[in-house]
Amino acid sequence: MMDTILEIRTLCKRFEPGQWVIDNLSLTVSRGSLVCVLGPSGCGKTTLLRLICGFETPDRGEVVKEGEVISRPGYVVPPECRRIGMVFQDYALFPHLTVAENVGFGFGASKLTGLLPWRRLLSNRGWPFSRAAARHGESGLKPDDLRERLAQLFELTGLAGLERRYPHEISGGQQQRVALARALAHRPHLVLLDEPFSNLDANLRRRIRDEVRIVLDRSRTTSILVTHDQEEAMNIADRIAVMNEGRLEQVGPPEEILHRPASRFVAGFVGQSSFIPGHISGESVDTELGRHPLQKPAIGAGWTAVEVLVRPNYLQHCDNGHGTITHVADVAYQGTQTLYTLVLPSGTRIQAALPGYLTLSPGDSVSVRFRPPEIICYPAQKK
Amino acid sequence: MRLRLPSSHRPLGMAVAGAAVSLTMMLPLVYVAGYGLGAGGKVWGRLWGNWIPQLMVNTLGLALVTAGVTFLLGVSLAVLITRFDFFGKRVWSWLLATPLGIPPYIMAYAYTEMFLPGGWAPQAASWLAGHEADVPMIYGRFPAVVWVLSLATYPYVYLLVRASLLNYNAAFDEAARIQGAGLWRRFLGITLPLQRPAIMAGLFLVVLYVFSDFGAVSMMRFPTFTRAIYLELVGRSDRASASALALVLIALSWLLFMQERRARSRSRFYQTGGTYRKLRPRRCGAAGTVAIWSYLTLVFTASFGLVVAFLVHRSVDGIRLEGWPADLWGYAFNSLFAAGSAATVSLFLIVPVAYLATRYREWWYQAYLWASYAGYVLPGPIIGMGVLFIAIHLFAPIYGTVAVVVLAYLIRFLPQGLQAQESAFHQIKPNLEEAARTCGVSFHTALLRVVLPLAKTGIFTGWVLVFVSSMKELPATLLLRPLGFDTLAVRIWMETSEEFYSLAAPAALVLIAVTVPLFAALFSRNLRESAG
Repeated sequence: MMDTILEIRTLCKRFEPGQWVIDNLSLTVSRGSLVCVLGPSGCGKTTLLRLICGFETPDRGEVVKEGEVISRPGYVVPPECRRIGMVFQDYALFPHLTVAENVGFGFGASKLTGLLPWRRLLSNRGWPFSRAAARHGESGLKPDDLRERLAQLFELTGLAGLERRYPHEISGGQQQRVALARALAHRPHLVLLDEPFSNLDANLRRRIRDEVRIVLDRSRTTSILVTHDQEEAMNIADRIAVMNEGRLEQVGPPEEILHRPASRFVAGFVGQSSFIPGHISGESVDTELGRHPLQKPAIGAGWTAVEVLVRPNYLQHCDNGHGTITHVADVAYQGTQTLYTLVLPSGTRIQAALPGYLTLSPGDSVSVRFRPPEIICYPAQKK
Repeated sequence: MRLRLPSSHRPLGMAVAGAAVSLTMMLPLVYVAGYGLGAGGKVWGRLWGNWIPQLMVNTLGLALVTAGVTFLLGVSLAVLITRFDFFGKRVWSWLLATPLGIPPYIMAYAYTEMFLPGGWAPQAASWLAGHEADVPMIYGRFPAVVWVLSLATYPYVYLLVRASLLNYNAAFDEAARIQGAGLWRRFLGITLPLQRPAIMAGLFLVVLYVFSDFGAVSMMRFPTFTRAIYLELVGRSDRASASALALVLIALSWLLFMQERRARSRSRFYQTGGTYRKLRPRRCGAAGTVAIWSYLTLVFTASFGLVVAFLVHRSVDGIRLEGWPADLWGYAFNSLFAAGSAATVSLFLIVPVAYLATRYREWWYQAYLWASYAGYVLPGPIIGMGVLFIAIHLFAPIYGTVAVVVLAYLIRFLPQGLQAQESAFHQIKPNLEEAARTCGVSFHTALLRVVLPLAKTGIFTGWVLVFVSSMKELPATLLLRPLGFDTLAVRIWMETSEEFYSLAAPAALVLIAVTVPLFAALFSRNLRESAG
C-alpha cells in the first residue's frame, strides 16, 4: 500500500455566508505522486491550495499531513512551520534579491541582513523567530552546507550561472525555475504549484512542463498542481482531481478521467465532447445515431431519458449509406483529420473527427456511424 | 491587494501598536472637540455674532481664489513642461517645484518687507516713475495674501498634474484627432478632463493648506480661522472660544477631506488602457523657447528667486551692521533636533498602521488608518492647543519639554509619512510575504527581509516629508516650546513680529538651505521615476 502524505477530510470554506468556495472536499495524496487539481476558473482551486499551506482557516473539516492535523477550524499551523513549499502563479520572486538569495531565502541571512548587527535575530536560528527553525531541523545550515545545498538546487533546476542575477534580468522560464528551486530549497514534504505555467507562452510551456516534471521526480517530491488546462493535467499528472464549484467530481489517473468520466461535468470538461439525447429501453439505449447496447446495465437502472457522450473519434464516416445523414455546419482543419461540426436531423449539433481527404464544405451532407468503445451516458438534465 | 491570513496568524504586537498610535493621533481632536462642544451657548452666540461669518468669508474666499490661481499656474506649467520640448526642460521641471521648500510665512515676510516704505517695491516704483513714488503697504490686503499663498502652493498642482500628464495615454489624443478635433478642443475636451483626478488632488492640497496656514496670514495680518484661534488662545486665554472656532475649521477641512477621498476612490482607474503609449512632446523653435522661458522665469522669480534674493540682501545688510548672529546655530540645532526626532520616531509609528491597513480588510484596521489621518484636518494652532491639553492632563511629565513639541509634529505630520508608506505597501504584492512564509520564515522575518527593504523608497520619502514639514512648523511650536527652545521658524516669527528684523533673514536662509535641497532630492528622484 502506498503511504499517504496528505489527507484532506471533508474540508469546507466560505468567504461569504452561504457561498461555499470549498464544499465538503476530501482528497488523499500519496508520497511521491503528482496530483493535478483540474477545474474551470473560479472553482476554488486556489483557495484549496491556500488552505493546504495555511493561509486560510477552514470552516469545517481538517487537513492532515503525515498523520498530524495541521489545519482545522480554530487551529492552523502557521505556513512557515508546515514544510510545504509553494510555487506561486506569478512566481512571487523577491525583486530586491538575487537568484541565489531568493533560493536561499529560507536559510537565513541575505546580503543586506548579513551586515546588520541584529543579524542573529533575522536568521531562522535566532530567538525570537525560532519557531520555524525548531520544526525544520535543517533550516539553520552551516555556511558550507548551505552552499552545497544551493549548488545542488541550481544543478537540479539548471540555473547554474545565474546566481548573481536579479529576477528582472532573467527570462520567464528561468524565473519559473527559480521559483521551483526556492520552493524545493528546504526539502519540503509537499510542493504546491498554483497555475505554474500560465505565464509562459505556448511553446515554452510544454518544455518547461517536462522539465518541472523531471525536477520533481528527481527530487522525489510529492506535489499538488493546480491548473485549468486539461492538456497540461493529462501530460504531467499521476492522478487528476477534477474540481467544480468547490467539490471534487472525480479523482483518478488521467486515462480513467478521459475514458470513464464519472459525471456529466467531467465528461464535458475533459476532452472534446458533445452530447445527444437518448432513451433507455431494456439493456440498450435508443439515440438518433441508432440503438446501442449498454455494457453495464446497472448504470442505467431507473434512468429513462439520458444524454449520451459523443467524442469526435467515436464517429466514423460511412460510405455505404447505412449511417445517419447529417449536415456539415462548420469545418476546422487539424492536419491529418478534420473536425466537423455536424447537425443531426433533430437539430442537435455534434463534433466529429473525420479523415482529412473528405474535403466537405458547410452545407454538404455526410453519413456517419456512431462506434463508441463503450456507451457512456448520464441522466438528462431537467429543462 | 490584500493578504488574507487566518485569524490565528494576525500579528498581535503590531495590532496593539497600531491601536496605540491611532488613539494618540485622535487625542487632540477629542480634547478640542470636548472643549468646543462644552463651550456653551453664550460663547457660541458671541462667536456666531461677530467672528465666524467674517472668518468664514475670509477663509473660504482665500481658499477659493487661491485654488483658482494655483489651478491656472499649476496646469499651465505642467502642460508646458510635459507637452513641449525645449532647452533646459529637465532643470526647469524641478526648479518649478522648489517653492515648496520655502515656508509661506518666509514668503509673506519677504513680500511685506519689500512693500514697506523704503523697501524694494517703492524703490522700483520711483525708478520706473522717474520721481519719488509711493507704494501702499500690503498688510491685510486680500490680493497680496492670495499672491503669496498661490506662489507657495502652486507646486502641489504642478507636480501632480505633471505626473498625470506623463502617464497620459497618447491613444486618447489620437482618437480625438481622427474624429477631427482641433488642438484646443483636444486639450479642453479630452486631455484636461482626463487630468481631473490629479488636478482635484492638487487643489485639495492647496485648499487644505490655505485652511491650515497660520504663519503667512498672520504676518500679513489677514484674519482667518487659524489666526483667530491663536489670538483667542494666546491673547485672551479663552480655551472654549478657541476650541469652538477650531471645531468649525475642522468641520470644513473634514468635509473637504471626505470629498477628496470619495473623488479619488471613484477615479482610481481613470487611465488604464490595454495599449499604452506616451505622448511625444512638441519641439519648440527659438521663439517658442524664448516665450516659454520668459513665463517660467517670471513664475520662478516671483516665487523663489525674488524671495531668496531679498533674504540674501537682508542678511548681508544685517551682518555688516551687527556682525554674525552667534545664536543662529543654536536655533538651527533646535530645529534639526526636533524635526529629526519627529521624522525618525514617525517611521516606527507608521509601519504598523500602514501595514495593517494595506494588508487586512477588517474595519478596525481601516479605522486605525483613518484615525491616524486626523492630523490632516487639524491645522497647526489646533494641534498645538490639543497637545497642550493632552500634556497638561495626560502626560504631565513631558509638559514643558521638547517631547511635547515632537509629539505635536508627530500628530500633525504623521499623515504625510503615512501616505508615503501606505502607497509603498500597496505596491508590494502580498504574495511575496506568503512566498517568504512558505520558505519557512516567520511573519516578522518576512516583514524585515521582504516588505521593509522593498518599501524603502516610500519610507525614505515619508521621513523627508515629515522632517521638512516639521522644520517649517510654526504655530504648534510657538504654543508648546519649552522656555529657551527656539527653533528657526519661531525665531523668524519673533523677529518679524517685534519689527526687529536682523535675525529673521539669516534664519530664513538657513531654514531654506535645509529644506530646499531635501525637497529637491525627493523630487528629482520622483521626477526620474515618473519620467523613466
